[in-house]
Amino acid sequence: MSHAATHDQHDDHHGAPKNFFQRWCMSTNHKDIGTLYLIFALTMFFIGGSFAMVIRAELFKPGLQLVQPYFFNEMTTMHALVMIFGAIMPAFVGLGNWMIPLMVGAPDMALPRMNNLSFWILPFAFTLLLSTLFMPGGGPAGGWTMYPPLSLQSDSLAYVVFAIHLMGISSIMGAINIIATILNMRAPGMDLLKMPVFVWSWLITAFLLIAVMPVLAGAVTMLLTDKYFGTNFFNPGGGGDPVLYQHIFWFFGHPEVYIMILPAFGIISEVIPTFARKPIFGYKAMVFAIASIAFLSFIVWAHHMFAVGLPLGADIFFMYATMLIAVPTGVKVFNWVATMWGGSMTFETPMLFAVAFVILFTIGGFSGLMLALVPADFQYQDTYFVVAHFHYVLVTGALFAIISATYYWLPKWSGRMYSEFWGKVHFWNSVVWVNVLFFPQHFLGLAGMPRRIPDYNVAFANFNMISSIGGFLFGASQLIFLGVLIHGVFFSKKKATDRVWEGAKGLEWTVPSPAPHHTFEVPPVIHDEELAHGNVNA
Amino acid sequence: MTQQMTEQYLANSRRGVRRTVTILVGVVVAFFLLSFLQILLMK
Repeated sequence: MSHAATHDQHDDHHGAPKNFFQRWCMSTNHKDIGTLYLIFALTMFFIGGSFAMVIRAELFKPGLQLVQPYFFNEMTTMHALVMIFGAIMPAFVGLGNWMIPLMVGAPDMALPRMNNLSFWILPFAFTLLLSTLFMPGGGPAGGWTMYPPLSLQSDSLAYVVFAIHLMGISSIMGAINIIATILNMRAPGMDLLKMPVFVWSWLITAFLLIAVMPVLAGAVTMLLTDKYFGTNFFNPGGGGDPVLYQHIFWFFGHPEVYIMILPAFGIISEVIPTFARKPIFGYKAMVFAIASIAFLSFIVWAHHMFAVGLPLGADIFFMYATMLIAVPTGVKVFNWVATMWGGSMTFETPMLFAVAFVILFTIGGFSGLMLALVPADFQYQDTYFVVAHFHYVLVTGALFAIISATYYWLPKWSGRMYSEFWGKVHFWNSVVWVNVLFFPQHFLGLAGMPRRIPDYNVAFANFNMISSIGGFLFGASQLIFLGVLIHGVFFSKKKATDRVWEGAKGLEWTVPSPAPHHTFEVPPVIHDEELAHGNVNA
Repeated sequence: MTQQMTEQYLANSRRGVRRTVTILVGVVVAFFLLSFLQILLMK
């Protein structure tokens, strides 16, 4: 490993281009493109977050307070689209771009120019999507699922469909790049079952993306032709069926949920062993669990549609298939706990977010199990219980993992240590307020409050007010994150060491901090005992 | 000797990347068309 590091410094004889345009707009360097993705995701996170603030402000009290109902619906729709496609997914792609070549000992991604194109499509796609808010007739307001016939009434459908096509193309190109890199660019000796779990999680996620993004493209293309070209795919008047759209959409939509959580599993599987100072417990089981979850994600889509009136046999099949996902997910949660068990644990900020992830994601998993039960789901369908469930999975799950990864790898990217004190302030504020924000929404849902409404019965007033206060403070807490990042990247005086964390293992920690512009131009030598998960064949 | 190994390693990587991309693009197109086929089959 030290051999590899020596080679690295030697190889870094040509640095980054000095010209700003050349460096950031024409870059083919995986680190620079990773940085661009992460900055883009952070920007979208704050834009999507501002939409959430509008939603919570309107719901602070019963009655219409601040915005018109149509604008409220635009906000719920845009919040979801921006957070899913603009924040969470690009953040994982950014982390993958930065870390996968470093973790497998590759000099760059397999297709560097396509990597540049994958990123630069995104700003145009989101400018197009967000611009619909300022158009006559307004933006999309029928929910991120875009169910017909409601979505067909939107004047901006063509813009939204085009934006989704662009995002899909970007995701597919990104996924092809990641698979091609992992399968063909690994350093000699980095066998598949020696790869870090994060790399495994991305390999499996990329296959999911390739399988389902074209299906989303197909579904929205059919919406487009139904509206503008006289087809009747989803119009019962012409022999079509709107429920068919739901089948196609959720054939994409459920694997999409796992696209947003599997890389998070990979991140947590990197962070916990480092701060527990132990190899991950059950490495192979962790990899097979991710693969099992990915497979099962293709056969559970109709659990989003129990209330449309499926045949009983279908209800039962999708209920049991969904509950089956708890098995590999349970394997992962128990293995993370077993990794921590007996470890010499320390609680730096990345570890705090990782531990919070394990606990709070499990809460989201349990409410998911409740929703999987057909008779219970008939009660929960379209209530705030669903909103609480998926926010526990996506905010305290996916987002907390992204934040954990950012604190974990930031010193490697910037060469400087962030402020541990302010990182912890950010953590404690986030973890307290996120629960104040989302936990009461379980009670609102169980009491029958529907989702996607700007006004509600006064019986729901107290929990909504608590939830809104939690929302405002959780939103404000993320400004601390922004401050810690800016300080950590530009102003921190504390230099990061190459290994950064005492218990960190793996190829990425053998290169200097900050990581040079070019790394592993000569393939590194792999020593099994230095890998993050220990010698898996021992 | 090392130089030779590195060149062979790079050549193998390039060949593998081309093969992987060809297969994956085929899968993408197939899945896109599959969503339309699903409708025709369910009619």
